[in-house]
Amino acid sequence: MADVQAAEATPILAVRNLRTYFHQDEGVVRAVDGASLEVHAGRTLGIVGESGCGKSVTARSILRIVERPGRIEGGSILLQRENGSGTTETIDLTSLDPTGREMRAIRGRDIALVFQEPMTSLSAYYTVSNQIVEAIRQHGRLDKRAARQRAIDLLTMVGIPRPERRIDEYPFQLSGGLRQRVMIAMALAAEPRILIADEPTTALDVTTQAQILDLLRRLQRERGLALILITHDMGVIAEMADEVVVMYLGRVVERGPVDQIFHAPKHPYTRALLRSIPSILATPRDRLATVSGSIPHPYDRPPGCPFHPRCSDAIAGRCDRATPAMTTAPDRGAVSCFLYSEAEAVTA
Amino acid sequence: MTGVLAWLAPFRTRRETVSAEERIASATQLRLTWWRFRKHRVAVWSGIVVAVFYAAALFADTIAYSDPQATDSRRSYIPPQAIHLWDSDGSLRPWVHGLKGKRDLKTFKIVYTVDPESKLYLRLFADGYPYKLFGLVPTTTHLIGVTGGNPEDGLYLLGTDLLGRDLWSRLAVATRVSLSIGLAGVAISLFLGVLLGGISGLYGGVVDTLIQRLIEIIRSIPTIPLWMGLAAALPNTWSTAQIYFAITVIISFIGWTDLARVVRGRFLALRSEDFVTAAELAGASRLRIIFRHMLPSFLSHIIAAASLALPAMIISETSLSFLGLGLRPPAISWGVLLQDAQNIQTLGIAPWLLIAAIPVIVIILAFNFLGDGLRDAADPYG
Amino acid sequence: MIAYTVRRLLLAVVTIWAISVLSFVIIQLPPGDFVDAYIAKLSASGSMVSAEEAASLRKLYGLDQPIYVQYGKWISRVTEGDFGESMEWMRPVTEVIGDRLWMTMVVSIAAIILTYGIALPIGIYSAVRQYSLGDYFFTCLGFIGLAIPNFLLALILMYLGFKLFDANIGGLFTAEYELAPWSLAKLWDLMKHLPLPALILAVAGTAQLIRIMRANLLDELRKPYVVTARARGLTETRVILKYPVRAALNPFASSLAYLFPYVVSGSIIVSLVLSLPTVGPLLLTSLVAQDMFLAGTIILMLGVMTVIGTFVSDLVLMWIDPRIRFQVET
Repeated sequence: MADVQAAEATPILAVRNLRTYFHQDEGVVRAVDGASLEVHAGRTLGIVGESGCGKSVTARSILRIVERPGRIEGGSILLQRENGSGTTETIDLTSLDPTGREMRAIRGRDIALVFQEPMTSLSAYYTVSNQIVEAIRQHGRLDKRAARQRAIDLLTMVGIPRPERRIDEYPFQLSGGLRQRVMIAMALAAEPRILIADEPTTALDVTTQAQILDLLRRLQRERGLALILITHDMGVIAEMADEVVVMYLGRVVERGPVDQIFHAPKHPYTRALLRSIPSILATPRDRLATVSGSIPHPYDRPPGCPFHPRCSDAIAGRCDRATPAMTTAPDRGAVSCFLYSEAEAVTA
Repeated sequence: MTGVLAWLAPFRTRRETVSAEERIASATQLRLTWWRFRKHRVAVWSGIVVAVFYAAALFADTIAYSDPQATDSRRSYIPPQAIHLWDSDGSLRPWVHGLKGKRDLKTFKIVYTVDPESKLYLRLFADGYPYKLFGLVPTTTHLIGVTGGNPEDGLYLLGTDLLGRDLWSRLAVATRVSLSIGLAGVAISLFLGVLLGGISGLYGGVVDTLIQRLIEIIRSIPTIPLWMGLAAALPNTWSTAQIYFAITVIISFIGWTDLARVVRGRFLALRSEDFVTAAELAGASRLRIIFRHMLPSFLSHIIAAASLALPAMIISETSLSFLGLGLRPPAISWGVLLQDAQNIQTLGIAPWLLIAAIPVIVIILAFNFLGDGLRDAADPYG
Repeated sequence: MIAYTVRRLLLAVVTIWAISVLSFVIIQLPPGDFVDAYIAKLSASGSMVSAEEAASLRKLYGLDQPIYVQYGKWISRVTEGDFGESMEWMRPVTEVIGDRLWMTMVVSIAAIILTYGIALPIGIYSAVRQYSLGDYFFTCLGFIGLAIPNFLLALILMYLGFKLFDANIGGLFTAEYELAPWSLAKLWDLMKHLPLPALILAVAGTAQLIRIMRANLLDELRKPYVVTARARGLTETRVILKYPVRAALNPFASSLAYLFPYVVSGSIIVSLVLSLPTVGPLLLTSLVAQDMFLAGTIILMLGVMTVIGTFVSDLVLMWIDPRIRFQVET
């Protein structure tokens, strides 16, 4: 019941038709090319796709930390935010100066990021304490001692044993799982409302993966976080997400509730992705299905629907000419494919 | 503006066409390196400069027009001449003013002044002093000369030194000596570096530790005092050739450490590569693995390291000779020429002696760009 | 941490030993021995030395014994502070060297401070503003700095100083202070003369360090911890200075171990051009005059100074890098 309510309410973060391009000597890479998604408080949005599909760039665009030569070319990123007087306001993050005070106040405070590589996401030259306390004091007014106590509390919360000792260690003295927990603790330092976890478990072993996912789920429940979980792992999506967005070459090709994506996938790409999950029911020597072909070179984007060269259902003369628009399906999902609707996208 | 910037950016690569993929897949390591290298325009131009310098070294005697050893005390410190391209009738006929000697009545010294009356017409492939091309072919033809006369009578394009020797001709010959000593030094360094670096990387363990410590020790000793000490001990009775050889050995004594590091690093990196493991599993002998599989894959690195080591060799020789401890007259090298320009009084009288610094700077710059380009091409990710 | 220190210390000791052997070899290299040279010197001034006297002198210095015994005798005298007599000056070597060794160190250290002081900000700028006009400018300048051997630079500046300002830019002191005892005024005089030779010595090293700093910082700037620091809302300046610059500082600082011998080396030849009162000119004259005890001692002392400098810089490096402190191999 709460689920339905949350879905009806205005999203805490809405990305509309986002386009982030990288201008290079060789040409323009359209890393994100018209992506739209919505995130609701207390819910998990899974963004899934192969590497290079624009998942991470979307996350960085939301935080406005896309590096040169990347630039947001269009679209809007609408953040619901409480202002001082208790009413909510909507800010378009694309209108802010990426290095300005306002945007920096949002980073960490409203939207936090946990990154895919726990080995290199922390600096080896400072202790855990130094880095967490910095994060705490960045957005709060605690003195050093109080900040340290808060850091220890945070480490306890993310399940680090003996935090009062661990806090004075250097990141390289911690295991990968502990480091990722430190990263999560640091991300939560300023009590953000939205947490973007970019492949949070990719570099970890399977047991640790499960622990970190459990931790994220628990924290989300306890704090009503809106979680954006970026992954290429359909298994993680199935376990964690409420809603799913499937991305391909910078475009959202399908979105919908997790059950629907898994049980009634519409887009041929989504179906291909699902076929490529190894199944426990498979008999030995069964060939694992793969998505045929490979992702095109970023400078050589196919015209029309970006997936048509690899699509088994491509309609000749149609899919290679025009880009399908995102059309809402009757059962709350949306898909961008000519198999379902003749509508063409306005852009591209 | 952007054109200039693009030209200055040797490290950006141009887009590869997709149709080239197949070509790339079947190319050898060396060929790949060459293709990547071609894209670095500054490096390519530097390569051309280096080639021109070595060509000049090869034809040094032809480029010279006066005997570089011929002294004439009456013609000491003649300033460089300006070349006039157009004759008075407007035709292209390069000429220089001749010189007129006058005795200064106060100092009784002969002072040379430009004689506005006389004109010496320049021509290509003129006759001059006799020499042997490549040390084999006796000839008297030089690149530049004076129409209907002896160049030694009035052609001093870059001026003369204290003993009246023509700087242009000496510079040409010095180029040969300095560049060849650099090459020889790098050859010796390369041999030592590949040998010791290879042993170090291949065997590892105690041998590796010992060689690494040796390298660290050598690198922590200030080199110039050491060279000076060793060079000063060379007997005065030695011939120019013996000194030349000894100096080469002394400067390469230090230079090999960098190369050894590069070779060792590549060996270590390659030892764990799949294709080496594959070759080992296939039962290839160790030597075959080294020469057939490993060497080709880091040959380009060695070439790059060698071209970065060359300027250091050239500086070393120049420094030593400049101090008077390297090559000694009658040998002519850039350092020997610069030795004449050592004190400020001389420079006040004959600043053109500093011209010998120009080829030194140009060739070092060219080698640095070339080596950088080669290194980037050999290892785009390293 | 202790193991690291001990290993470094051991290496320093071995290096010093190697340098002492090399210095001894250099002393021994010229044909004839010390007594031959001594006799030649004396007979040049008119007095004669008998064969017995020569033999007893040889015995005194152990010259009749195998070379390793001679080395042993020499090194034990050296450790007691007896470096032998200068043939040229007829005075103990240490007296002849005097302040010059310290002056060499002052010039070298000033050059190193200047090198780091210039290279650090430019290196950071070039990396953060990669491919900007300023980056190209400094890259070009760096290449040119690298290509001009420092003695040539000294020569060119000397000439320009002479031609344009009619001033002699050489030396470390004005004439009135040259022989004066140390005082604040003399120190100030030194401070006024120091920048130019230090700058000349610093040029090549600076060019190299800018490249090292730029390359390392570019690598570090691409690392995930920069993104996470940015995502925490830190200012761009703080993100860059606290995290990637800190990481790039290590390879930058560790280049000191190679920079130090390089600068000391360069100071010898630059001192000659600029006639600085360092050991440089003394070394050259002693080598030309085959005053081998003086030359050998200078080479030995320079080597030992350099090794000590390198050792200290290693300790500093260990102190600033937590990974070495906790013995983590990366």
